[in-house]
Amino acid sequence: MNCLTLLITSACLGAAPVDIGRWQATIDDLGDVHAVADVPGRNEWAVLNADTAEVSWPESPENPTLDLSPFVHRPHGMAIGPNGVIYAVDREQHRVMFFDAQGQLLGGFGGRSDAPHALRRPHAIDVNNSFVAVADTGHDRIQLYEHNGRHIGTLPQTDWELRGPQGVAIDDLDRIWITDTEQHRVLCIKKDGSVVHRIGTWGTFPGHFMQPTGIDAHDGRVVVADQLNHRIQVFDAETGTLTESWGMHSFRPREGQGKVHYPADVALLDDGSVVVAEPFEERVQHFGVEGVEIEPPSMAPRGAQSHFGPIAATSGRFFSTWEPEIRAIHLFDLERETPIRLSTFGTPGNGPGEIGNITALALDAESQRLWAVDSSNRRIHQWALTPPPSDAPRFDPNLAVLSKSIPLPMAGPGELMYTDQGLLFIDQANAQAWEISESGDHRMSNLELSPNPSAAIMTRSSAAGHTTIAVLDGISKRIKLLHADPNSSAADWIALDALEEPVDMAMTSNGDVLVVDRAGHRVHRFDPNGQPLGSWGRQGIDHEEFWRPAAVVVDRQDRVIVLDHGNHRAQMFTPEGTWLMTFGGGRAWRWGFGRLPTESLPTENNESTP
Amino acid sequence: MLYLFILPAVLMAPTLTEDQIRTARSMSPVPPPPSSPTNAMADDPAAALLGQSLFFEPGISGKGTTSCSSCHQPTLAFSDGRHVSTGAGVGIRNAPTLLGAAHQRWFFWDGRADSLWMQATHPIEDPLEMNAARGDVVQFIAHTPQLRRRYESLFGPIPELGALPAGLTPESEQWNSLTSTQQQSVNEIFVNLCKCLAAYERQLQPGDSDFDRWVASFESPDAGPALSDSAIRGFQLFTGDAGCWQCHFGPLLSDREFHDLGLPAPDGSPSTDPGRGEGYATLRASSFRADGPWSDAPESRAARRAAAARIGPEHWGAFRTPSLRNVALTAPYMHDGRFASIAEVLEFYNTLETQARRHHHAEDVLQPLNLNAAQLADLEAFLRSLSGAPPATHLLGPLQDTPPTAIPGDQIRHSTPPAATKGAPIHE
Amino acid sequence: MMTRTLVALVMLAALGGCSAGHQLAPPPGHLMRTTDGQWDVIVSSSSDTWPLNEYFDLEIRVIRGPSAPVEVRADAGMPAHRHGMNVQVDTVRTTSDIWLTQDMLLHMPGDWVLTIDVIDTSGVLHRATMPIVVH
Repeated sequence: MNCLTLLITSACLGAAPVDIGRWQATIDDLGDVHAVADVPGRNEWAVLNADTAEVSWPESPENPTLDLSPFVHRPHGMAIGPNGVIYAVDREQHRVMFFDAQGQLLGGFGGRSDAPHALRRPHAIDVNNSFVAVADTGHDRIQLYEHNGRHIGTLPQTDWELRGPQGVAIDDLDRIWITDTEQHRVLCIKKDGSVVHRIGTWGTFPGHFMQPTGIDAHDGRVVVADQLNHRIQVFDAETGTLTESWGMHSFRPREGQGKVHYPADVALLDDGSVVVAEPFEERVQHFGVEGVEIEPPSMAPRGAQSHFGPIAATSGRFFSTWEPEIRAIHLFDLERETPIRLSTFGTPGNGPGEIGNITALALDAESQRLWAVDSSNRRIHQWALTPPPSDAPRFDPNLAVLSKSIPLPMAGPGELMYTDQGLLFIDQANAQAWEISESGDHRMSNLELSPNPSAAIMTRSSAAGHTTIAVLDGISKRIKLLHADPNSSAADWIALDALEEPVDMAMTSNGDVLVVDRAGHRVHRFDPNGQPLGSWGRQGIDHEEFWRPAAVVVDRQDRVIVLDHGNHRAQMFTPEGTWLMTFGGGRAWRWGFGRLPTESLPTENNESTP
Repeated sequence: MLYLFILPAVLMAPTLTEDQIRTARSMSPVPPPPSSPTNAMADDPAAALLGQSLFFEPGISGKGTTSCSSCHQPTLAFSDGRHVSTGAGVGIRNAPTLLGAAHQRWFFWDGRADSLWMQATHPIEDPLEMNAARGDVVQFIAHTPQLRRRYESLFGPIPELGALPAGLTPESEQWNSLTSTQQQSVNEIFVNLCKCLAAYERQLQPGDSDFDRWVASFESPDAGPALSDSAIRGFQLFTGDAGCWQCHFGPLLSDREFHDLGLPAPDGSPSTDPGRGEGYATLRASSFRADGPWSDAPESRAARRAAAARIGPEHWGAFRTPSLRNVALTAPYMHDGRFASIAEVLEFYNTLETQARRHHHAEDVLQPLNLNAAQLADLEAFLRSLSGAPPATHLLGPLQDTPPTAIPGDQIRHSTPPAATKGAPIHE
Repeated sequence: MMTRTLVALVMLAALGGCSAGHQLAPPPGHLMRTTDGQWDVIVSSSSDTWPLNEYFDLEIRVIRGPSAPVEVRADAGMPAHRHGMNVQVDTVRTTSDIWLTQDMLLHMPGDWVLTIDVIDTSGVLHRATMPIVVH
């Protein structure tokens, strides 16, 4: 049941030159709503819930909700054609499926391969009377198709390049607007490949982008969602100049009524209003010419703020994650009851040795090395760690020193791990495993991965009776054991059918396996034979509650650390699920120091330790 | 010993550490200006005289009512005492002092010029400042005998340009009606005039202050009066716990670079003034930059250094660290003159309560100082000790032999007498 | 060209100072070793000190490595402030083993880290670092 909060008013608060960015409505409980699409000529819009693969019409309930789940898995993008045909981007299965207005499957195109028409982890789609454009994120390109899926072209063709584009829109002049996400800019391209506009660079200033994702363009306006700047920016399509910006910035999760948190997609309707999808908040907000003008942002809370990214690693006394907003890596010391932040390091940039977008981390306490896969820079970086004595941990900005930076063409989403044979990178987009040597040489492993490897771990006492690698397949919802012996087939180990979105796993000292269910907001535990032992967590912001948890690791004290992505924090538990502590970049909370009021968040709480 | 620690700071006679003495010496005296290789006239006395004439000459403004000295008044340490300057219109930035300007690496609050002579090209044609056109300026010089004589003694005869259309700038429609030779001549004369203005401004050095005399007394105790204990404690705070010295160091008390303090827009939200981010883009788009065709040393190290500036996201919304020399004489403060007094400035740094950040991700270098009233008073006493004697009297007003003269030709504007300023005009 | 004896002396004098946490005296002739131990460079400065907010040049001599470097880069940053220099410097090869970086600028007082990057024929970047204090 959707919860609709609607407020239409002509009140104009303040004198800021707001055109279409006044808040009109918030519609909650929409699930993992990565995509919102307008219906040309009808001033209607629909959302796509990745959790259920359903298309619904929150402000046009007379339209039927369409269940696409038999055909797509956690769809990520959507567009609706002039004839009502619905195109859904299935990122995990690297294809686009299209349906009629009643949800009947009409066809599909794409597929993961090296063919000209293929797709690799596509994120977004748009369609107009002439053609279909797909953001082929994993191939760093835009694919053009006819309405029936026949491939008609690829961009770029000339002297410009894309890096991980996550958004695409076709304007009224058949020009293609692209969010060049990992190069932090927006491009306007003609179908012949010539560049009309290049807009923005990395930053927080008006007109800059940190992570532009969703984009839409109509009637001389271009609207862009910037996920990490938590804001919407509007540009003049002819001049490329910024005309309006709003939403900046939600300082706390769950803030709303005009404040925006990790916006992923936008739809620009015929009446000039804008619908913004916020999957983290499981909601959309509707903005327009009339409504409540959003108050200027208040001053951010001072002190160390952290937005832990969706990946984590641990080894020995260390725990590491990264913060996309500042493109830096955090290193914590786990020797004490409370984690101590030892360092925050990394130089943002697009050159060798600089940090663009970290997609995988690996730590090795023995050699005191940290490795990071950088999808923006197509590299793997290595830092040497010189930690302080474990009895006197302290923050040191010079603790980690970049040692080397190695070209890694396949750098992208995946898993990085130390194995008995060395460093192994599981390339999620291509379902390939790569062995990487200390010197930087890399070669494809003979490991047979499952088709959709979401996560991988080294098993210590597996059901197979020996150490091997276990791979979590997010689509088939299975954990499979791999064998380096090419003659040995992969074996099912743990079935995860009861989970909604298993995304990461870890292993305790006795061989129990912990799996994070992102959409289910829970952690599940299985014994070494794959039998479920229980689970904990629920959606929320208090301790023991999660908001789309993204990663799990187990430290050498057998403490379970869950990256509570949507709450910008980590939580620590016993293997049985007893809450021990919540911590962020600069503060931690544990028993005996009071519980958080439900409306509060760690960064606002004074009862902290140390 | 314990009682020493609980005595109020005001009762404690400050003693200096070796580090503090070394730091004080690094801040005084003010050396001569660095060389300016991109301006061949930089240290030419005759060029400086022409520059001085121009500096006080309202005839080179659009309406003949505004001169450089309108916003850089000698009696106000070459600032104007306004929040933001008013010329042909109301500007958006506070007029900084010119005393010590020649030491800067970048010019304007946003660094949109990389030399003193390039700086001079902007306000003359800025619609909100002098609102002139370079073609009109050239005509004015050509038709003002004393100025023409001075100019031609430096640069040779002004070529016959004929009747130039009014309002002639490269952006004007009429510009393309000129021959390339005419365009070149207009630009060349305009640039030469600006280089002369820079030659004059290079002479505007901060004078010795109580602080300088105090530092000099380290070597010879009889050199001058010591600072008050309060000012010395202020110096210790400034270079110590308060951290002011992180950006305000050296003889100019400025790092000559750019920082975003998070000063808010009037409604309290983060400012949208792009500052250095746009300033550098403006600089690079100009042909008057140090490595451009009008530079006298486009291949020089100085020119290459200016071209090598790195602009990162932190420079958007950033403004140049002002010199604190003569700071007590140059209120109001900040790039937009928002603070009327030194005390208001210190209060901002002390609490940062009004600071507005666009992001909440980075850890700010700037932290609230949390100083008490006595410490703030000490800091202010130190800052007031930086007021120095004005430049030599002959630099403080127009040259006596350059009264405006009637200018023939309908297209030429009539200048008005320069505003009276303190300081006796000099005689050649 | 530096003689072999002098190189040895410089190495002996300098290696002890390369450990983390030491604040090193300014060049001339300071040995820096990449963190992975594969390359040694000697860095010499045109300045007697690490100058505050004044330009200076660095000469970088590659004296040991598995191959000839394709590229050498010098840079500096303040890790505690998470920013680098306000200038973009280029490092150019002057002879087969000597590289020159002009117009370095350490614009704030405090703790800086000088970095020398050696990029090999495989495109791998190897970094040597040296903490420096600017007064």
